[in-house]
Amino acid sequence: MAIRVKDLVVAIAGKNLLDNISFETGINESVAIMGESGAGKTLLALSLLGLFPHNASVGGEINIFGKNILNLTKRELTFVRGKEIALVFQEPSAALNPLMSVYKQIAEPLLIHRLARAKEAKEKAIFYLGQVGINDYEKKAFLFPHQLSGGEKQRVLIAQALITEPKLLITDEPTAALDPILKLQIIDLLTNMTKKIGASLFVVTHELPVAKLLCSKMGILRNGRICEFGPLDSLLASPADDYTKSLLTNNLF
Amino acid sequence: MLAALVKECGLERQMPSGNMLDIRNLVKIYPRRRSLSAEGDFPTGSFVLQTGKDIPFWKNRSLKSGNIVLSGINLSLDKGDRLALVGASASGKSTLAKIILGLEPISVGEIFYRGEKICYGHKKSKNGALKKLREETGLILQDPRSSFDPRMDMVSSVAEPLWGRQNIETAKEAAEELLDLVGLDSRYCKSYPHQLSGGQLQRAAIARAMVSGPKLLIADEMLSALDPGRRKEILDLFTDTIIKRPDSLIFIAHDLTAVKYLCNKIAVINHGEIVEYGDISLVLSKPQHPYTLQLVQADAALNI
Repeated sequence: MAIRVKDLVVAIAGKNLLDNISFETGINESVAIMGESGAGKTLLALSLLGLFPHNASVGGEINIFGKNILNLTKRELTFVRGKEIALVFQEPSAALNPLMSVYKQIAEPLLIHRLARAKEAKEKAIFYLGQVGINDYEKKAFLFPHQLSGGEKQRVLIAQALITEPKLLITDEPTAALDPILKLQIIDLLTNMTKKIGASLFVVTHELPVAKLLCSKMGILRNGRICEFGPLDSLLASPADDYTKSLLTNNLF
Repeated sequence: MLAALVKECGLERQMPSGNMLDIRNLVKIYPRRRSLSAEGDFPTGSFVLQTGKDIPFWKNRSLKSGNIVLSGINLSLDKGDRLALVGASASGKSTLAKIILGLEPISVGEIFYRGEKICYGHKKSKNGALKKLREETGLILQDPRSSFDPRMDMVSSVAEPLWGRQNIETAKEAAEELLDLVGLDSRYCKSYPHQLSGGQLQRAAIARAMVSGPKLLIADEMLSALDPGRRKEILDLFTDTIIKRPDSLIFIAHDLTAVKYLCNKIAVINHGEIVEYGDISLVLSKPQHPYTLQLVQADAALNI
């Protein structure tokens, strides 16, 4: 079992942002969570890492590879984050440190988790930069984020997340605001890399094609509740919920 | 007699007559190397312009060391044309839109609006064409949140383009009417941008662009900041009510789905050059340039 979420409730000021969320996913399974903006998709993704808003009250259980994330101490969480569970953020330009060169940022998780010494980490970072398909990567490793294009920054984030070979990769809108060619490349990259490392994938997206291409299971989130969860094919073939139906009829993007 | 001689020698000023907008041999260069991407996408260094024109010496230096954003753009837009500008990010699409509105100076080339040359930069004040163009153009930007004044309510924001042309009461009435047309009824008229959702704000932005009765509408990645449900709504709104009103439309996008819905002509921009231009069904069914082919294939793969 990779992820097991049971009765998860996240509330701020008495309002349930996530309401009784329960689902299970197997190891090496890829899951997509879809929903409108404001449905709580990003919050759910961050919850899996134990990253809650500071004034939130949390109930329920989040089990990831047998560890209950909610019971871990801060120090234990640090060991899990980045090493076992990695996160790719929505906006690469906001997630990267503008003052740090690219290879240093990619190597950072290795150094924090003491998986490698500085020199080794640098070599590995440059190697991973090549793995995610950046051409001329040996030069680009020494550039700063503002000197890279949007697609490259997205790749840098993916390299940074994958360098510790995590068991679970969480991506929050990995392809939003990219053009179709780049979108397809990033999707290919994610499928190949997770296969290579043997990681499970958790994708938050609002684009149906992305979910179809990446994942085998899908959950639909609406107003903080999971209204449907199951294998992607059967869910799309016979949608039970109205929102899923409207999603399929409005399949424009 | 004289006219025939002028014609024979090719001295006649070739005036585009019926076209809304004509762009001839446009080149845009950022004078200093501006790092848009580290890939070295843009050819830098000295190059030969294909415009067949002498370049003034004071431009020569910047041309040699600059970063070419757009080169050799030729476009013409007839009345009723709905043109899609499609291309990768940082290919110069938005720059072209800004140039048309006179928000960016150009390096080489000419732009005609309804047969009159638009002058930019220091010559701006001598010619009324740019003013006319701006008066008759509506602009919709990508991010509705950052395109509204947070201290103005919706009616005032939407009525703003009419300031100085009509008195305030009639301007506000027109604004209310348009807000109603885009599906924001009187409840929303007094609300402020932070109280509305992204989709609602984009509707208001459309209303604002339409309020002066524009002859040309420029939509720059209008749908990118919205989620799919909202996109469908806005697109439906556009096709149902709005599209009949302006004479021409320039629609900038990087995905093809909306373009197929809205436009009848397409120009594919790659690295600052128009690589393909023509009727939309023709270009998309028989792409000639490798980039267009790649784009069409990626679009097909994403729309399974």
